[in-house]
Amino acid sequence: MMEEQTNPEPTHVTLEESLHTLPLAPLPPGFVRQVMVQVAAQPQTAPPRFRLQFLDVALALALGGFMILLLSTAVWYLEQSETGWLPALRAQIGQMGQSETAVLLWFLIAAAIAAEIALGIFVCVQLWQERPYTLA
Amino acid sequence: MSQDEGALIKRAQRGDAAAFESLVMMHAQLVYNLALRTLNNTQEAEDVAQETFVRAWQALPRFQGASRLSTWLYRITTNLCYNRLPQLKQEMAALDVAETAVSTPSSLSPETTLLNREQRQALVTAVSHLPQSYRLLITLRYAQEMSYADIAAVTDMPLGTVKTGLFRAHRLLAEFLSEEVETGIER
Repeated sequence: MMEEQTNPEPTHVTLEESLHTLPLAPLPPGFVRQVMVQVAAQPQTAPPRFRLQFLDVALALALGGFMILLLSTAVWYLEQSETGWLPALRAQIGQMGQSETAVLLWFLIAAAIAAEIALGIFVCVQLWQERPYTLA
Repeated sequence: MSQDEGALIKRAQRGDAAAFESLVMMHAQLVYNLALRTLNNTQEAEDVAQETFVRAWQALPRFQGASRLSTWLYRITTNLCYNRLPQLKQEMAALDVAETAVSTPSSLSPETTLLNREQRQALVTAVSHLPQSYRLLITLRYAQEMSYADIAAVTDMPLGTVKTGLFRAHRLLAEFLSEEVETGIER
């Protein structure tokens, strides 16, 4: 079937050409005017605004809570662990903290956190000013 | 979408009726002809075409421009035709599985490269006698010059259904025309 469709016979080519030139019927007289009369009586519908609903907040809280719980559990488990790799990691970080390059590293981390906070504040201010939502 | 049309849409979205009137004038004939070919009734086609534009006006602020305005308008028109002809959508959906009774098209001779005036008139008649689902597809494809993908979006049908429907419509028309040619030769 598909092959037949992609390889039209000469008949179909002729038909194609003729179909492309089928005459269009003229519009009924006064068509546009009648449309505009009806349009004048019809208000436009504004696009729906995003509504912040209970479910949106609840879902965000549930997901956030789940992530915190997961991380807390992981940290707790690792601290209880007897593998000893966590104390080793701590010691390594402690040694890094005393080196000179570590100062730059901590500075970069602090700057990234500050940038994240600034971005968060910016987004909050924008949301507050434009308020594309209503509290349901 | 031309730059002019884009500007008109933006103005109409802000409630500018004059801009909307320009858009109506740009698209009215094709919308009307789509409805006319599908419904085969001038009064109903006029009603559907008018309703298409009224609905488009109401919903225009929500038009995101993801598709062309014409595609969006044809989709509204097609949905209104579906409402008027409840069996149309079923017929479209059935294209995928229905057995076609149409035999393989024989025989307009390959030398027949152009249809004469009478045959072209016969073609117009043949199109108007096709089942409504085929009329809709043929009109979208040839009068509105739409791609298969756009037709699938407008009719809310799978791409395969659209291709199958158009292929079968072609076969029906080819059969009809070959009969016309044979009749013409006999005459």
